[in-house]
Amino acid sequence: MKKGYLPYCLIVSILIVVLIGVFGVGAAEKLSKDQVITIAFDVGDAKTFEPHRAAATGDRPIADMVFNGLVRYPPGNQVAVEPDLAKSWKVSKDGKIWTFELRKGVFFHPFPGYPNGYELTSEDVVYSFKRASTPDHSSYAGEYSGMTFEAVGPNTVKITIEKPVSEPLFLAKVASYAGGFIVSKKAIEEKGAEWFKMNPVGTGPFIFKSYEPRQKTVLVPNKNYFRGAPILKEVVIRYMPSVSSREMGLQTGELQIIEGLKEDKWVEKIAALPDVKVKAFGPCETQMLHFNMNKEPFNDIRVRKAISYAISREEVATFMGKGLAVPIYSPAQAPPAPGALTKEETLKAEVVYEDNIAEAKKLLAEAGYPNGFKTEVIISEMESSYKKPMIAIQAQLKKVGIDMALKVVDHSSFHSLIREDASPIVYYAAWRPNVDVFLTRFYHSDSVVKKGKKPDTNFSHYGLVDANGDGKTDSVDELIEKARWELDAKKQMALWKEAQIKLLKDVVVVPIIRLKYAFPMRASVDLGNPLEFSWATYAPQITEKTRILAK
Amino acid sequence: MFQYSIRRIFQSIPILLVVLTLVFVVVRILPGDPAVAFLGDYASKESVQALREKMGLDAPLWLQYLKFLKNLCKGDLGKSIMGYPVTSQILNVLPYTLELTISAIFIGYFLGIPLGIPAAVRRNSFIDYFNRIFSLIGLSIPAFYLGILLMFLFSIKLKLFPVVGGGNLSDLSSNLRHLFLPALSLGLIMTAYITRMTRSSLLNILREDYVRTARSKGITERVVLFKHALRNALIPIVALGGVYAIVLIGSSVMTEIVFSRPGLGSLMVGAIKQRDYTTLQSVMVIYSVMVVILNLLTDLVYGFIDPRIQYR
Repeated sequence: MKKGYLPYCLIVSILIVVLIGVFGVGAAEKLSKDQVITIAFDVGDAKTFEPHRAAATGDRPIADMVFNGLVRYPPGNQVAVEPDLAKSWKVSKDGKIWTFELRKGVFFHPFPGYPNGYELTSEDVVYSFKRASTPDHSSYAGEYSGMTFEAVGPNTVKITIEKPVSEPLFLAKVASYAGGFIVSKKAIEEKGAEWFKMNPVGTGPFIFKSYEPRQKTVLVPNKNYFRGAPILKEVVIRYMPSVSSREMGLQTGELQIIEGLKEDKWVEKIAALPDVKVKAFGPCETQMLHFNMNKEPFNDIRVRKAISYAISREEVATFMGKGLAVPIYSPAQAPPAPGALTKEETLKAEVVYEDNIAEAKKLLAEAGYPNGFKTEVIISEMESSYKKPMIAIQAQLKKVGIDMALKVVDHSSFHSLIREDASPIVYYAAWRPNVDVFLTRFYHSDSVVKKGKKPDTNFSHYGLVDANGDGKTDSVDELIEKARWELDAKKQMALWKEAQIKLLKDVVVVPIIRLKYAFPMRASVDLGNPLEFSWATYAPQITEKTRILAK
Repeated sequence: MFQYSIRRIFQSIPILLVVLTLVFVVVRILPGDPAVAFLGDYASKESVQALREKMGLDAPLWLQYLKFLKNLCKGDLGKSIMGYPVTSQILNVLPYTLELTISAIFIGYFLGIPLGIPAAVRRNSFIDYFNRIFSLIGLSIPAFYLGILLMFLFSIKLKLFPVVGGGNLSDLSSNLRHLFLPALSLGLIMTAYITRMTRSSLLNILREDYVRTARSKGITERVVLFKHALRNALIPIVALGGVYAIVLIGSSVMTEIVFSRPGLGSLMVGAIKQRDYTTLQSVMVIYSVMVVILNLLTDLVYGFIDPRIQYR
């Protein structure tokens, strides 16, 4: 090449690169004119707009969009925490005093009398936590007992806790989840608690606009959001219990995101539709089989172990569809939740009893049931979370002579009946914010249904019965409490794991699967977050970065 | 007639009272705690108890019943479990249920009568067999399933009508577009009823002596059919409009859910799921009142179109 052409070639090359850059990237990121997202949930209606009450699938995403916490779990990948309304925090050496420094320039949404909202102060934060500690206004009041809240400056909040806990456990209480949402003090005090019930005022990326019972809730963007104004012009949350309607709405483009069925075949069918994408995300719920040791023959460890041997997690997972179902071995949450036992750890501890029909039959014969026995188990009508996996387990138990009849009831009745100690086996699907909560509510003696000091969801009666037949009452109460007050996170996890191994050794529960969620969406939806692990909302998180791309 | 109507309305009061008592008892017999259903299984015992007290569920059943009746007499239907006034909820959705029911009845009559006439006139012909099969399918197929099929054809394949929601009542075009498919799915079921009714009623009339007399007088078949036979055959068909409406109100529950339409049906199902006693009782009150009114109207219309009937 002649020397004279070199500069021209360089200029042309640079121009080509620039043009590809401009038009290529520009084309990929071109936004649709219609920046409205309609997301449909498998629920008949909203249950509440009060963030400290929001627990249902259709309610949590609204709380998540309207409110913030002092810290938050990053959208779409909720494992660690990061700053939210607090820009920094520190803890005293004894772990009892936590001081949070608030971000400046964060404004509440407008409401009557405050057309431009008002700036968040420590008063609002203190008010919010006090409200979250009151059973009248919060479902999570128990989480805040022994805590006091104080505004030590306009932007500084001091929280004192009687008994110090480790950082992950403490920050979970002030995160943008459950009782950790920060509400507007002025809105509630000036407009009234009844008004606030139907008109939530927070600092989040979206502002509550309207609600039509059993139909929809509409949110509009908060242009003053401290992380930047949302790209979307409107978010519509629709309540649609019919899956075929949600499916058709997605196909016609009237809906952009829908709550799907937790079934592989359905997901595959939907994923094959044009302009639709589906990504399964986790973990969302763990499914476990709890033995009621207060009822015969489940008070006999040999029977429980036999049932455990008769069950094949892999088979249940295959029956449910391996794209969504993953076998689990931890009796408290499932990995990647910190502190949950992995399969390798349970194998090492020799507490895995599964997939061995011969051993199951041998144990049943030893227990005096050589031909098996009959039992009736109450189960919820909910297909993927309860009924379907139990049908798989029912077939597996048949192989060892156990005739397990399933009494299917509606979901509300199921929750009432199992709390009345009416079922010899309880198949339960749940996700809790951390291992401590899970262990406490499912295995602490205080939580035993009907008989505990604070009856909750300990269906097995562990802690009040002799589980392994050695004549002594078995319990993990001490380990749970020791772990709760352990400040060293590593030691805390070791204690949690010790408790879990003891539970598995005593065959109190058989962890079965964790079931991922699938929310099909239009291909043009760009959530702006990775959608890997979204336990706090049960749904894809819509944030200020969410947008709809042009086709 | 006025006295008769007043008497009937008063006679309905004990019936309403029995229905309301039954509803009140049945919703409470159902296992499931409204407070747990509302707060979720993660809520603490203290929070559940606090809500139970707030909702008045810890009061004795008889006291809850008396309070319910007292409020009802005052016209206060109370607030839903979420805190939304039930009266507003019902008033918001009632127009959607009424427009759906009325349109379905209209479609039923509009298609059913013209289909039933040839079936009766040409008994055992091809058109009769066709109509009988059509009405058999119509009577067998659930309206919500037909709705899904219609959605698939008209919305997914032809992209003509929306599938989500009830549209805006103040925007006629949006409202009609959202109404078309649910009304058609219920209307086609209604058509099946009316086709069968028209056919059998007309067949009976065509065998009457006065029809034979008319024919023997040399009157054309068209006049015999439309002036002498059909007018009399239509009496039970028209008079039974109220009964059809009651049937439709029942069928509309699932149709409203499938089309995600606002309406009394979807309100009721949602209330059952949430154990929302206040909303459920109120919707049942409205349903009961509607059935009583429709029955009364049926009786009145019968007398109006059939001079042989007198009110005493």
